[in-house]
Amino acid sequence: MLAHLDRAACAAVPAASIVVLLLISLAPWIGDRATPALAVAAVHYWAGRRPDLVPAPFVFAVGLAHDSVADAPFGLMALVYLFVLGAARSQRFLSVGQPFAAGWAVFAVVAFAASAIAWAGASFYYGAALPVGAPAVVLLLTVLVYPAVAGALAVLDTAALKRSG
Amino acid sequence: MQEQRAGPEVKAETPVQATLRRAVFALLVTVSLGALVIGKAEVYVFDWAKSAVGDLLAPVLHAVTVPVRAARDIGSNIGRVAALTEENSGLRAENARLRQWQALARRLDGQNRELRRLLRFDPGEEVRTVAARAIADTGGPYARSLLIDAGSRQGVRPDQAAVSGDGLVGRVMSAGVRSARVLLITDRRSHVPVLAGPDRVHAILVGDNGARPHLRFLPRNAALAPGDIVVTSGRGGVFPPGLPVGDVGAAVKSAGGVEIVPHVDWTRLEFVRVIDRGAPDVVALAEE
Repeated sequence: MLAHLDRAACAAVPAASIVVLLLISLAPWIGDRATPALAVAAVHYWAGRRPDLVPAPFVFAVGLAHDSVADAPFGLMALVYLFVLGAARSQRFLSVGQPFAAGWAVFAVVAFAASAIAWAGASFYYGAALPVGAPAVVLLLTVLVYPAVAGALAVLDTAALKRSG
Repeated sequence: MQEQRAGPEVKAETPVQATLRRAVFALLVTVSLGALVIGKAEVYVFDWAKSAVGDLLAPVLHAVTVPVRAARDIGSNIGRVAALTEENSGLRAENARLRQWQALARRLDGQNRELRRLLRFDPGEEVRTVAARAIADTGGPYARSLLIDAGSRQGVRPDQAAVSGDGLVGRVMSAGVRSARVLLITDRRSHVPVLAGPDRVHAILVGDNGARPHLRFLPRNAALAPGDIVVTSGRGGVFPPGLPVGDVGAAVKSAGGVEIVPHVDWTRLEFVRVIDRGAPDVVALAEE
């Protein structure tokens, strides 16, 4: 019974870490300055490492929660997270088991495409081409912070792997 | 460079499972796109859903806010220690100046009361305020709003003004039971009727999702200089008149209008006061 619970807790680590990083990125801590999209980095990491533990309906729900709290057009971040999930899964062979720089480069490309989708979706929603400066800053911060996020998640990943035996 | 560990072996899917997974994925992408397209038509069910999720997550966001703020404050305080001596002497000088202003304000306040009594002046509406903590913000590139931990239960309703100690923050856009969303004056959907400069010329303050909103619809002959104060005009009935908003920026004429530097320090905004002017809730009245 306990072993079963332990395995379930380990299996919940990816989902829990995505939710925690989303909440941290939404907390009002640096005012109107851009914050990195931490949850996007986490979805990319876990979709590559543990695709079976990051199901699409969960990622969709996280996206809708993000849209709701951040007042983004409804469905926009859900679409972005689904794109990151699909891209990371399909490009898994390029990032997992490869030098870290390769995984980082793959993430940069995926994050750029996700940012472009978010910009296009928001521009469509508001009926005007939005400025690209702010999304570009968020993209840059997200790519720069990826090694730290991936490192922290790798520690969790290792701990969860050990516990699940 | 360190090599990424190979991932754990993922269970091989049967063809049926793989097809099902792809079908679910495609369905969710379609639903997301559909929500985006339908949401453009301002479907109120989405606003309701956003309020409901805000209410649901309000306690969690409130709990996350405390350690995150503590971490932020530690970081910013370390940076400030070096500048404390200089800041202290500056504050002493400012304090002396403010004491002079305080004495003047008290004298004028007494004079004002006496004149009002002589004129039998009607002070107008009663104003009540609701204090609330900011529990989430959208420092994101596509919206500028705050989620606060007070909702309809505390008397917060849409179209009430939100202020901080420094000045106007924005207006309540939607209210759930225990949370509400405040649209900041920097959001591109924000339009605030204001009076600018010593001549008190009318204009509309419009946000653009950047740090500095702009004045639009200024009279052609309006003469504004950097540092001129901008306050709410009270037109439209949403914002009470006379609330300080910001100062005219150094770049007086930019391509999008006159740039305004908001008085509110967004990086330190922790609490807001929502102004309840006792105006009837038009939505509730319409529903009745």
